[in-house]
This record gives sequence, structure tokens and C-alpha cells, in this order.
Amino acid sequence: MTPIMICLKIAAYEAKILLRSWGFRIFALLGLIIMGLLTVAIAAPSFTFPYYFRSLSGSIPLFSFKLFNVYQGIIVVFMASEFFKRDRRTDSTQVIFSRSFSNTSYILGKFLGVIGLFILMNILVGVITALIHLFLSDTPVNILAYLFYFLTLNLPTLVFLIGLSFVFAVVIRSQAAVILLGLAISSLSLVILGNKAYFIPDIFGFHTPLMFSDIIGLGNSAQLFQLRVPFFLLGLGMVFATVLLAKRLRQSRLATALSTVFSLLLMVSALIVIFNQVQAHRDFDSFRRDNLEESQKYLDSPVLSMESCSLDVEFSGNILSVSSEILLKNNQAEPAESLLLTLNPGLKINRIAAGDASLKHIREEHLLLIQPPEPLVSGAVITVQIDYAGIPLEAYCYPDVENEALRRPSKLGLYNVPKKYIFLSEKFSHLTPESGWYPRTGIPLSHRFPDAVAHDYCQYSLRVKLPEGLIAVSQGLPEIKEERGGKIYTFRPQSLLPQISLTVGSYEERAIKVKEVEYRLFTLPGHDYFTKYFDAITEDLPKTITQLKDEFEVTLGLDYPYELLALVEVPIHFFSHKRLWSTADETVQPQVVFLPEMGTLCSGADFASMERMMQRRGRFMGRGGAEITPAQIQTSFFTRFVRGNLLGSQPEMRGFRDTTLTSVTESDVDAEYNLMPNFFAFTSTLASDRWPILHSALESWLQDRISATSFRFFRSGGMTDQERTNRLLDGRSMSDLLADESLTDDQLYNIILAKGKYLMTAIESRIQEDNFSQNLLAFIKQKKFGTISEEEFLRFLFAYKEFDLEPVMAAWYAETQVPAFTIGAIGMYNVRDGEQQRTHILAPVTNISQSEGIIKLSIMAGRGGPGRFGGGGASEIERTVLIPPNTTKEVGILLDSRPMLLTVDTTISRNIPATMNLFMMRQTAQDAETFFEGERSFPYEREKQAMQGEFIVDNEDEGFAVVGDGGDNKLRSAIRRLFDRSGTETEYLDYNPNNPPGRWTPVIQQDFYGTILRTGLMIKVGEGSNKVSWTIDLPESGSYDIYFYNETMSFGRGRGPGGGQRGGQRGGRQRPTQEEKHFIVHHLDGIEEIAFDIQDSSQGWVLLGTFRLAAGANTIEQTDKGKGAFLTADAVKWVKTKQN
Amino acid sequence: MQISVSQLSKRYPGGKLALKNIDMDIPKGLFGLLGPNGAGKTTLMRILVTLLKPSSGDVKVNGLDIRKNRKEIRRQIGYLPQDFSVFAKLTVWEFMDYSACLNGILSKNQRRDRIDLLLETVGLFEARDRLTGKLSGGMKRRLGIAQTLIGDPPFLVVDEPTVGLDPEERIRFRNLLSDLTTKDRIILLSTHIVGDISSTCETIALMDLGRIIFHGAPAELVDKARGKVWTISTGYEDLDSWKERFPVISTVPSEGGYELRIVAENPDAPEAVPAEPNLEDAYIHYMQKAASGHLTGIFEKRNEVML
Repeated sequence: MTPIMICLKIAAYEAKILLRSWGFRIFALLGLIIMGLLTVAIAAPSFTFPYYFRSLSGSIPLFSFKLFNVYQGIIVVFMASEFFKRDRRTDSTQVIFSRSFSNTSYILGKFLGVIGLFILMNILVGVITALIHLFLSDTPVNILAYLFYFLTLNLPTLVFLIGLSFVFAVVIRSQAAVILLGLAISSLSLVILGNKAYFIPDIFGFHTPLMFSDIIGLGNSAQLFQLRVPFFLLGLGMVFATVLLAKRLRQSRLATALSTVFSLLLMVSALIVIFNQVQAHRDFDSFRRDNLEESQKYLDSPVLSMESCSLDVEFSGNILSVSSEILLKNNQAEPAESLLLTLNPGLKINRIAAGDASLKHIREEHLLLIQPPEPLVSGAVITVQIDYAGIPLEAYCYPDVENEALRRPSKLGLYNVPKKYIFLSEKFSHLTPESGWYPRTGIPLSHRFPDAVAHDYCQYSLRVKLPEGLIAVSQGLPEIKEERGGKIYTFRPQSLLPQISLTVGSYEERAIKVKEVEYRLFTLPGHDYFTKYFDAITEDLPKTITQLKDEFEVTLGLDYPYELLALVEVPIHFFSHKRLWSTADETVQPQVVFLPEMGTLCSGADFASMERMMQRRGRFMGRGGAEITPAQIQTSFFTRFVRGNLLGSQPEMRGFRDTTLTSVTESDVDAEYNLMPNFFAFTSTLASDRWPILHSALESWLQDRISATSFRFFRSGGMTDQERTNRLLDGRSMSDLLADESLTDDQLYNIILAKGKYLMTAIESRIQEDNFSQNLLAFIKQKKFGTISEEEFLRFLFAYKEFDLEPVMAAWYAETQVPAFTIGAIGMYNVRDGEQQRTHILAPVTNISQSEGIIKLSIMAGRGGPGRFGGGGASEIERTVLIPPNTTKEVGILLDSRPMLLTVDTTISRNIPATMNLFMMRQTAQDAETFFEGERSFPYEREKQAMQGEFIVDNEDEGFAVVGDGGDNKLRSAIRRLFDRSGTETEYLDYNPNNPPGRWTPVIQQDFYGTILRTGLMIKVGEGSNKVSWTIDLPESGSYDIYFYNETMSFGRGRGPGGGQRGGQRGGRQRPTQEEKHFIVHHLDGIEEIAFDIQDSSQGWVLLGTFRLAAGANTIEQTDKGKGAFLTADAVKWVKTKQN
Repeated sequence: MQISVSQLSKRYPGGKLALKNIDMDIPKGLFGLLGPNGAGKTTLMRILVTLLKPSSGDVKVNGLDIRKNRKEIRRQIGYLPQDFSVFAKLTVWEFMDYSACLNGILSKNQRRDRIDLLLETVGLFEARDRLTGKLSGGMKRRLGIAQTLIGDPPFLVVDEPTVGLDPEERIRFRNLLSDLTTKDRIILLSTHIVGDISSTCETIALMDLGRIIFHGAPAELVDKARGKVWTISTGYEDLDSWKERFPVISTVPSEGGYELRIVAENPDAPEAVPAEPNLEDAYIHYMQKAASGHLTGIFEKRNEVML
């Protein structure tokens, strides 16, 4: 029998023995059952798991294979010592060892036996998953996804862990040590190291960018090869190393020599692949650095404007060939010696000419310097033909974004989707302006920011030659000409555009023309999962579209300027980084919006789950509720999808069901594919050399017009972006912040957005002209498809009482102080306005700081429609109020209907929470004779916070302390310290009674005591060992009343006058409560522990008792002992009693 | 088939010297290796079956050097250690098939015929589908010997094959070994039970403390004990005094006391009657003589040594 046959026989019997061991059987069976159940849970339409868990053909198998990979990894580690345990019983295995076969045959046989069995289990998992996928989900099944996941994810992990276990098992004699070591390495990779060092230590592929797309497959095969192959090679290398380490005397020199060679070869190969990978990342970094340095050399070079650009494109595999003709104009005063253009450095120049004459040029990285026949004088134009071809490099994209952010995959729950910016293949190509696929003037805008923000407008035309079966999508409606073997698409957009994109794929196309605008939808074959959900509204679709469009245009005040709006499905890998200088990103191009494959990341795209929910609700309503027709349901789906993704934002109510798996990954409710840039960013640009950021400010102001107020009834996600941004703004000027390189792009983006909105609102509030907004919008419309110069903008403002922008801008750049507000009791009155009975709201808001601030009041008022909160009939009223320092402003608002909720958004402020909701549903309106609409100002007189003889210590004050770790044991607190990245700033969590923290943790809740910081601490009810304390230095001894501040969640009850009563339980679901708090009072007569029943206590100060206290430091403690689910700690007040 | 051992020593990594300069030729037939626990029998056997590397000295199996020709030597070896219960999850037939495969029997039919024959031989054919973990101690040993024979090797090494077996199984196993000696092969039987080899082995070697202290035919060993074995009838009260003075091989209760069988050069007692020595007496005598300091150890094993 040949060594190979012996090896295979050993494998067969090894597998048989392992298969018959109960340990393995239990592990395997349990794994298959758990995986099956979990896969059923994610595959079936429901809202238990987010849509992206199952939306793609690659989602469901990735979920199964990924989780099973971790599970089987643990099994391998546990079984590791089992592999060689028999061998350690010397008497037993010597029966085998004394036979004539080589150690290589034996170890390889064992390896093949073990891995064979695990591969079989993977196949079983794959088959079970595929069956569930096929029968339970409506997502297309692509068998390639299964195959690729197994090969890239599970196989390398298996080989590596088995190899590692083999080595451990022969080197370390203790079974427990082998298991512990194996688990330690696995956990280290899984939890800590997996996403570090370019994912190289990610044994399980848990953090590795991986997602299969029906359009492009894995999309990052080369990266995956480099990441996963080393594990495969190292695993095999270790198996061969085991041959050398095995405790059996060797019998074949040849086999030993071969094992040594293989082991070394495999391990060295793995190291070479790893090294190459590291080198590739370094090259990537240096390439980007070089690009930046190159750009910086030309920072002050005059930028020509591109007047027209004609592109003739051909694809040949993954090679892009373009013949371009561009018309450049020198708008500068000085003559231009050279023409500076930017083009992706992967595209090589074949020819540059002006007419028949070739032009000299220099190519430096991405820059192209063309020498014109003679200097281009001011106002002169030149037409240049540039032919180029090649593969555009992704490393060129987003030069302003941190390299790590480009490498980091986009996280979708368990999935890590690789980011791709350029797609170029025979079947699918996708080129957006960021890829630099066509020449643009000057250095990239990313290299000029924040000194430049504006862009120019150009007349584009595009001609694309395609083989049969492919469709091209770009700006404008194409002319299609049949040609032998294919088609020629010619795009000639009617208007000037700032940029152009090109997408080519085997799309299915749907089109509908509604009032001059052609709406086109491009999806991939097999991806029409949605038509069936809209079959009842086909005829009404134009009406619904018109309604949505009109509604949006009226709200924004600008009209959609193009003849086309195309929605194009692109691979899930396509990622667009937010740009600091614009609300536009690459997902939205002029006239074209790129939606992720199967609507994966789109809000409200999970029609199946929505339909199920509606059906359930329908049954519920059938018992007495109003009937909902299928057409109504479908219209609501359509409206929700369009509003939530394309038009501004969708008011979204968030509940408590935010767990790791079900949490919504979007940080806000703004539409991800907002059409807004089509209304302004792509049509006008506000060019200012002095204040380049002015364009962004104007854009933010417009964006804010269409951002619906987010009436969030519960906070989730800890501190909001707004609160974090406000913290950054506190004490620092805009100029400082723009120059601060330590800020992340997200932070800077939020700062620009917040300050931009603030600036325009401040201008508007100062001008105090009712028609200012409308006039500004008219001004923008007038400047459509062109540049608004600074002078023009200043002239526009000057028309308003000679308004001077300069001091406002100076203050805006230099202001370091952030205001703070207090909100007084909101008054609600029944008033008679002529013949009409109306509701008058009186909201007093005080700016208690030394700097000016803006607040935004929003009122949700019902129209008496069906459903909660007035169903779909709720209306919103908004008021923006500028409040000077130390000023109280009373805002009077007249309403035709009963208000339900008043939201006070303190915009840029020190307030936490920055936005407060005041529930007015149960507040009783008082009758009043007089009313006013508008604002009234009063000077604010700083009150003494506490009365004479009153002493208050809040949780934000110095006298407050968490005793010890507040509930953490030593290990937990050590781990917490290890992972704590919050720095010294307090990170607040949400007030979430359903999931209280295990230690005293700062939480935000507007009902807590405090003027600016409405915060407290929260903990799960415990044994009493975790304490907080309030200490006050009393000036004199005597008898004191001691109060604690009691907050109650204000949802469902009114506040202000008449507020304070306990809210009723909603919907029969019992909300976790706090019922009894335990205080320890240190007083002159000793120490007293008080268990205080708070169930009947109302919002505000609650008397704990009267105690004799000595002068000096006095402490009250609260423990985590109590009744109910959770406890909070906020403020304590000492009041000297009169009997003293 | 010839095995020759010369100047063989083995020192374990911990420093323990397990074998000291062993010189020995093992001829065809059943060869008994006798000695107390820790004498070095297992070490010697593990070297012979190529599982352990000698520290010094030479071992030649049919002229092949045990260091250089492991592959060839392993083809000629069948080894039965004391216990191999780890294959409990395989059936008798599967285990035999696995052994046959490892022995290089390529043809499936050939394997099947050979396995059936051997299982018939050892009386396990009926139990062929039973898991080895479910076999009795005796059946396991028989399966063990069957697997050693799978490749029809000329050199069998059997380590303590009868330990823990009931008398019937023990006799059955001995007979099985005797039957195997009819072929042209060496069977090295290691044991500390004298009865295992007294009736079967043509040649024996006595080991103690890593040395061979006797090498020859069992009759030669018995001869050396002639005139040194005595029977004594004694009262109850004198038993302890005899035990202190001489190695007592057996104590049989009799009327008014005991009938003792002792080993002594000269018991110097009128009631001592010379007795005809057997192999067991000779073993005790020889061990006492060779290593008088270790008699106590040997006598603690007395009950095991006696059949």
C-alpha cells in the first residue's frame, strides 16, 4: 500500500473515530441546530433583524458561515488535545506506531480525517442555509456566494486552527493548557486584534472586509487572497511541523526531509504574502502622500475653468480608453503659462493635442501640466484633445479621507462590507467624479479645502460604445444607436453640470415620465423584489410622485432643475465618504442616484417585513379600527421609501429595542441618498475667496429647510452628534477647528453643518425681514447653473437695511463661547382670535450665557386624525429665535389645534440634552384674554440658584462622587480602562430603564435636576455595595430638611403648569420602574439608613427627612439597594429649618 | 529470524538508567522475559519494536540495524502492548481492517480473508461487529494478538499479556501463544508471572534493574535451585519467625499450623525437608541471589508470581 493510501486510510479511520465521539457529536449537532434556527430568524422577513441581514444573495450565507466559523473554531480548539490524546496513552498507540508507515502519512492522515469531517459539517451548514434561503427568504440564491465564503472564510480558519492545535497538542502535554492557549489566541484575534494591522491577525475573518455581490462577486479578491491565504499556508505549515515534532521515531528520511521542506516553504510563503500585503498598504499610504505633496506644489497655481468636455469612452475588459476634447478658459487676470489638470494616475496619456499640433506635457502623479502653444491670456480659450487609457487606481480616491477610513469596511451589523470606489470590468463599470476618470481643472478640490469649496460648470457630452446586453447610465437622456456588435450611447445633458458619472451594467430599465421629468429605475436581473409590493398603485404612481415632488419643492423653496432622475442599483461595495465642503457625496450625482444593491441600506426598503407588519396591524384594526386598502398600504410604502431615502429626512420614532443585533446603524434619520444637492450644490456655487465656507453654510441652511424635526420620544445611542459637536465648539473658534488636524472628518463635517446652519439663521434673524428666505431662494434660482460671486451675495444682503456681513463673518470665525439656555414653564391658553377659538403657546427661553445663541421651537400639533399622535395628520410649526446674551425671550405661537409636543432645539449650546421634548398632551389649557404672536425680549437677571439657607449638590457638582468603581469588580474596571477611549470627558448614556447599567453611570434625561446639564446617574438594583455620595460644606450646625430630586420620565404627561402627575402606563406593557431608594444620612445623632418609597413621589424635590447636622462637611449617600428594576441618583438639597 | 542485542543501554532524559549493557541473542521460538516491575522489560521491548531509541549499543533484527532500518524492521514486527482501549469507538472488524491497512495489505479481499481467519483463530469472529470498548479483558488481549498477526510478522512482542485475566482466559491465551510458536518466528513474551512462561518458553531471560541476570533454558534455571527449596511444617506461633529468616514461597494451612515452602541455602532446621524445585522456586532463588538487597521487593510480588 502506498503512503498515500495509508494516509487516506488513517484519515478515514480518524474521521470515523472522531465522528463517533460524543463530544464531537454534541458540538456538531448543537452547532447545526443553533445555526439553523438563527438562519431561519434572519432569513424570514420580520423586523427582528435589520433588512441588511438578508437583503443580498450574499447576506444569508455570510451570516451562517461567519458564525459557524467562530463556532467550529472553538470546537477545533476543544477537540485539539483530543486529536493526540490517544497518542499519549503510550501502550495504546504503540500498536499503531510500531507499524511500518511514515510519520508524514500518519499526521497528514489525521489532518485529512479531522478537516474532512469539519468540511462535511460546513457543507451541511451550507445546505441547511441554502434550503432556508431558498424557501424562507425572497432574496436571490447565488451558489457562488456559498462557495466563495467557504473558501475564503471557513477553510483557511479551519486549516490554521487545526495546524495550530496539532502543534500545541504535540508540544504541550497538558490538555487544559492546550485548550486555554487555543481559546486565548482565538479570543485575542476575535475581540482585540482582528481589526488591527490591516486585518492580518483576523483568524476567523470576522472583521475582514467580505461580502458577495451579485454584480461584482467578492469585489476584493486580491485583498482576501492576501488576508486568508497566509492562514491556509501557516496551517498546513504547522501540520508539516507536527510531523517533525511528533513523538514517534521517524522511519523515512525522505518523508522527514520533505516535511521539513514543505513546512518551511509553506510558512515562508505565508510570511511573504503577509509581507507583500503590508508593503502594499505602505505603498498605498505613500502613493497618497505623494499625491498630496504633488498637489501642494501647485496650491497657488491659477485654476482654469472647463467650459466644455466631450468624452468618447470604450471599455476593453478592465481597461478604460477615453478620447476627450475639452475647452478650457482662463478666467484669471494673469496669462496661464500651463494648463493644470487632474486625472487618475492609473490612466496613462496617449496623446495630447490642440488641433493637429501635439502639445508638450508633464505628468506628475495625478497632475497633468500641458504647455499651450502660447500662454493663455485672460479670457482666452483653448481646445485640447487628450487620449488616455488604463485602469484607474482606487488609491487616488478621497485624498482628504484618512487612509484607515478607506481601509475600514463599512460595518453592517455582523457584516463588514469592503469599500470600493471604482468598478471596472467587462460586466459592470461604475465611474463617479471622485475616481478622476476624466480630466478636471486644477488640483483636486480635496487638496484645496478649506481654502476653496466652489466648483465650475461645464457643458459635458459623453459617447460610450458598449457590447450587446449592457446599458449605460449617465447625466441626460441618451441617444442610442445600434452598431454591429453593440450600441453607442450618446449623452448630451441639457444644462451645465459640475460633474459627470458613468455606470454600465446589464440593467433592466423601468421608466415613467411625470410632468417634464423622466424617472428611470435601473436594476439588475433577478433583483426585482419590489414590483409586487406596488402592483395596486401603478396607475396612481404619477399622482403620488407629483405630490411628493411638489411637497419637497415647496418646503425647500427650489425646483428640481433637470429633465431626468435616474435611480441606479450599484454593488453594495460602492461607498461614498461624506465631503466636508458639501452635503453632496458620490451616491448622488446630478440627475442620478446610486442605490445599494437590493436597496440594502435604504430606509423602508424591506417591503416584505413592512407588509407583514401591516397585515398584522390590519388584523388588529379589523376588530374596530379603520380599514386600510392595499393601495393605501402600497402608497405609504412608496412615500416612506422616497421620503426616507431621497427627500430630506423621515421623522422616525425610535423605541427601546436597540440591541447589538437590531440597532440601527445610521446615526441620524437624514436621508442617505438625499436629492438635495440636485437642487443647489450641483446647480449653484457660492464662490468666496475670503470665506470659502460660505457656500457650505448656505447649503447647510437649505438642508435644514427640508430636515424634518426629529420628534424622538426616547434617546438612543448615548450622546447625540449635536451634543458632541457642541462640546467641540465650546471654547474654540471656527478658525481653530478648521485647522485642527486631530478632528475626524465626521466631527469636522458636523461642525461645518452646525455652524453653517447657525450662520444663515443668525443672518436671517438679524435682518428680521419676513420675506428674507423667499428672496434668498429667488436669488439662488436666478443664479442656477452658475457661480454666485461673493460680491453678488454681499449686494443681495446689503439690500436689507445695508446689512454688513463682514462683522458677522468675523464673529462667526472667531467666536469661542457657546451659549446656554434655560426653558421656563410653557404656558398654554385658550384664546379667541376673532371668531376662532385658538390655542396660544407661550414659551419663555433664557440665554443665561454671555454669547448670542439660537433656539428652534417645533410644535407637533394634531389635526384630530386617527391613530396615535394624530396619525398622518400631525402638523409641525417651527420658530427660530435668536437670543442675545443674558436675555429672556418669550415666544408666542398661535395654533389652530391642540399641541401635542413641543421640542426645543438649543442648536449650538452647552445644554445637555441639547434638544428637549415637552409633552403637552395632558396639559390643561387655561383661558386667557390676550395673546401675541412673535417674540418679546426681557433682560435676564441672574437669579440665585438657591435661596438663603438652601444648599444644593447636583451630580455635576464637585460635592458629588461615585464611591469606588461604582459597581465594577476589579477585572471589569481593568477591562473598562483598557477599552476606554472617551478620554477625560464624561460620556453619557441614555436613560434606559429596560437595560440599566451595572455600575453608576451618567445618563441624560431632561427631567433630571439641572439648569444646563440635565443629567443623573443610573444603576441596576443591586445589593447595596455600590454607592454615590453628595457632600456639602454647611456653614452652621442645626436642623436641616434634606431633599432629593426625583425625576420621572415625562413621556405621556404634561409638564410646566399642571405637569408633574405620574404618567399612565401605555399599551398595557409594564415599564420597569424604580420603587424604593436607599439613602444613608450621616448626622449628629448617628448614621441612619433610610429606605424611601418613591412610588407616589412626584417630579421635583422630595423630602427625605429632617436631621440635626454639624457645621462643616456633611454627606448623604445613596446605595444601589432598592426595589424595582433600576435606581437613579441626581441632586440633594439641604434646607435649614426655621425652628433653629 | 534472529535478534541480537549487544551492549544495549538506555538512559531516559530524567537521568534514570533503564537498561545497562545488555547482551543477548533471541533465538526462534517463544522467548520469555521475566522480571519484576521496573526491571526494564518494557524499555527493552519498546527499543526492539522501534518505539524507543537506544542510548548506546546495538540491536540487530535479522541483521538489520534498529537505528537505520526502522521501516524494514517495523514490517517484521507485531507488537501487543498491555492495553489499547483507546480504539473503543471502532468495532473489532474495523480495528483489524485499520491494522491491516497500516500493514500495507492493499487488496480489500485479501484483508477480509486475513481478518476473518485471524478472528476465527483467536475466537472473536462472532464478536467482529462489537465495539472494542465493549470487549472483556481476555477478548481484548485476543484481539491484540490477532492484530499483531495481521501482517504475519516473524517477530512478535507481547507485553504482560495475562495480567488481569481470569485463569481460564490465561490458559487459553497461553495456548494461543504456544500455537503461534509452531511457525518460524520469534515470540518475545514479557511477564512477571512465572507461570506464563514455565510451560511454554524454550528460552528465558531474567531481568532485574536493567540487567540480564540469567539467560538460558528454564530447566537450567531450575537446576540452579536444586537443594535450595525446602518444605517445613510449623506451628502458628513460628510463622513470623520463618518469614523473617527466609523467603517464603507458599504458606499452606495444615493441622496445627502451616506447611511452608521456603528458599534457603541451608535452613538449619531438622523439620526442613528438601523439595523438588520448580521454575517459580528457581526464579525466587535466582532473584534473591542476584540482588539480595531487593528481596523484599520481590517478595511483595509473591502472590502475583505464584499462579
